[in-house]
Amino acid sequence: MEKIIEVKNITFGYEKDKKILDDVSFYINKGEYVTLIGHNGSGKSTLAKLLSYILEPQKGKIYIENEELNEKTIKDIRNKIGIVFQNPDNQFIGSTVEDDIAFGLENRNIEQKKMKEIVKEYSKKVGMDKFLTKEPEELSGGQKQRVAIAGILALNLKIMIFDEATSMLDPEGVEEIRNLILKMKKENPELTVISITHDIEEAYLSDRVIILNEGKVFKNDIPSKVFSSEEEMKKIDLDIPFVLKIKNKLNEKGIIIDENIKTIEELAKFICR
Amino acid sequence: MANSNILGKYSPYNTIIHRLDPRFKLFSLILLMVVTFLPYGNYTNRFLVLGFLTIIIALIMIIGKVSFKSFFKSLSSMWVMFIFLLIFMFFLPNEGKYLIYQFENGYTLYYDGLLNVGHVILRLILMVALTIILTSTTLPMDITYALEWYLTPLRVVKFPTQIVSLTISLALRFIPTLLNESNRIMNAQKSRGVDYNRGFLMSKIRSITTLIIPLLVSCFSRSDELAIAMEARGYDPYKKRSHYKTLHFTYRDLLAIIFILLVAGIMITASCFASYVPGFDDFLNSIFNIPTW
Repeated sequence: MEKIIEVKNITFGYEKDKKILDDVSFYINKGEYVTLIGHNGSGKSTLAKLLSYILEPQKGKIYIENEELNEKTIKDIRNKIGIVFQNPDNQFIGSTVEDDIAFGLENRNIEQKKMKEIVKEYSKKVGMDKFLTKEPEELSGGQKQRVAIAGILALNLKIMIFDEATSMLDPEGVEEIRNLILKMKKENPELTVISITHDIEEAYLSDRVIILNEGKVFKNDIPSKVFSSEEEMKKIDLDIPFVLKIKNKLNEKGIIIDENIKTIEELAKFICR
Repeated sequence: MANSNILGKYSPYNTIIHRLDPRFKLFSLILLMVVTFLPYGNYTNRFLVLGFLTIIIALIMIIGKVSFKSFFKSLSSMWVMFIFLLIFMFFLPNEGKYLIYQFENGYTLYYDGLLNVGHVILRLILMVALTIILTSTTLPMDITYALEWYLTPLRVVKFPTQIVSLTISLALRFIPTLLNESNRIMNAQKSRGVDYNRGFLMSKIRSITTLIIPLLVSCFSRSDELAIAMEARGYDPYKKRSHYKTLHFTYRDLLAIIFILLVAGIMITASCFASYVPGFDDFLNSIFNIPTW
C-alpha cells in the first residue's frame, strides 16, 4: 500500500504548557476511508486544522505524497486536498449552486465550455442537478454540504477531508452525507477520504478508525476491532455504534449476526429474513 | 426578510426586460436618471417632458412585470421626505409669479412652490421606478458582472477589478444569511427579556447593542471561515481566473439601446431647446395649446 498522508510526531498547543496534541503519529494509505473520532477537546479539530495548514505544528511534520506540508508547498498541496468544512453557510461562496461548484474551477482558470460540462456532471453526482440556479437560502444544510462536496469533487483531487462536515446538520442531512461519501468511494476507489467526525455510525462504515483521546492516538484499527469493547469506549466518553450494540445483545442471546452487516437497514433485513 | 425589499427584489419572470444584457440595463438606468434631472424650462414644459418619460417608464414596468405593489411600498417609505419638501418649498416664505393667497401679515403662498414640489417629487418617483425596474428584472449577481465589465478599463491603472467584483458579490451573497442571523439573535435576546420595540432613545440604543455586538462577532468568524474555505479551494486574488458566466450582447439589446437612446435624445433635445432657445417654451405650449406657466 502506498502512503498518501503521513503524520509524524506532531505536537501542538494553544497555550504553552497545555498540549492539545502530544506526539501524534499515523499514516493513511492511498484510497483509504479513515474516520478520526474523539470526544470534545480530544484534539481532533486541531488535527483537522493542521492537516489543512490553517495551523502549523509546533513539533513534527506532515507529509502529503512524500512532500512536506509547509508554506512553500501549500499551494501545490491545495491541488491535492479538498476540504469540506463544518458550517454549510460559510463555505458557500457562489451566489447560486452552479456558481459555487464552479468557484474552484474558475480559480484553476478552466475554460467556460468545459466548466459547464463539469458542473453539470458533478452536480448530478451529488444529486443537486435540479437545483443549479437555486440560492443558498433556498437549500437545506445537507444540500449545501452536497454542493460543497460537488465543488471539491469537480476539481478531481486525490484527498478529501471532511472537517466535521455533518455536525451542523439534522439527522436526515447526516444520513445524506454519509451515503454520499460511501457512493463517492464506490465510484472512485482511488480517492482517499479522511473524515473528522462525531458520528460513530459513520466511523463504523469506514475502512479504518483513529480515535484521539487527550491529544494522543488511543486506537487505530479497523472499526470492528476498535468498537469491540463497549466498556473501553465508555471510559473515554465515546459510545459504540447502534447496530453493533444490537448485534452484541443478540449475540448474548445466542443469535449470531453476519459480520458484514453495518447499517440498520441491513440488520433489519437480516433479522426479518 | 421584508427588510430587503426596500429597493425592490428580483422577481423571477422571463420577460424581454429580464433577458436584456445587465450592462445595457445599468447604462440605461444611469442615462435615464441623468435625463430626469436636466433643466426643462418653465413648469408646463417640465411636466410635459417628464410626463413623456413617465409614460415610457410605466410601459417598461408593465412589460417587465414589475410589481406595482412593491413600487408603491418603497414610495411609501419616502413620504417623510415629501412632507419636508412641501414645507420647505411651499409653506416657508417663497418667491414666485403666481400668487395663491396673501395673508394680512404679509405671508404669501404661491403656485410656483406647489409646482416645484410636484416637479421634484415626480423626479424622485421616476428615480425610484428606474431603480426598481433594474433590481426586479436583474439578478444581483448580473449587476455585479455588469459593474465588473464597466470597471475593466481601470485594469490599465492596476485597479483590482476582479477583487472588487468578488467582494461585492460576496457581500450580496451574505445579505440574506446575515438577515436570518440577526433575526435569530433578536429572537434569542427577546427570549432573554430584551425589548426592541418600546422605550425611548437611550434604552433603544442599549437594546440595539445586544443585537449589534453578537452580529459583529459572528460576522468576523464567518468571514474568517469563508476566507479559509476560499483559500482551500485554490483562490488566489492575483492569479488569472476564468469566468463561469459571461454576458452576451444580442440583437435584442441593440434594439433596446436604440430605443433608450431615442428617448434620452428626445429629452436632451427638449432640455437644450428649453435652455438655449428663447421662446421655445411658448412655441411648444402653443402646439399643445396649454397655458404657459
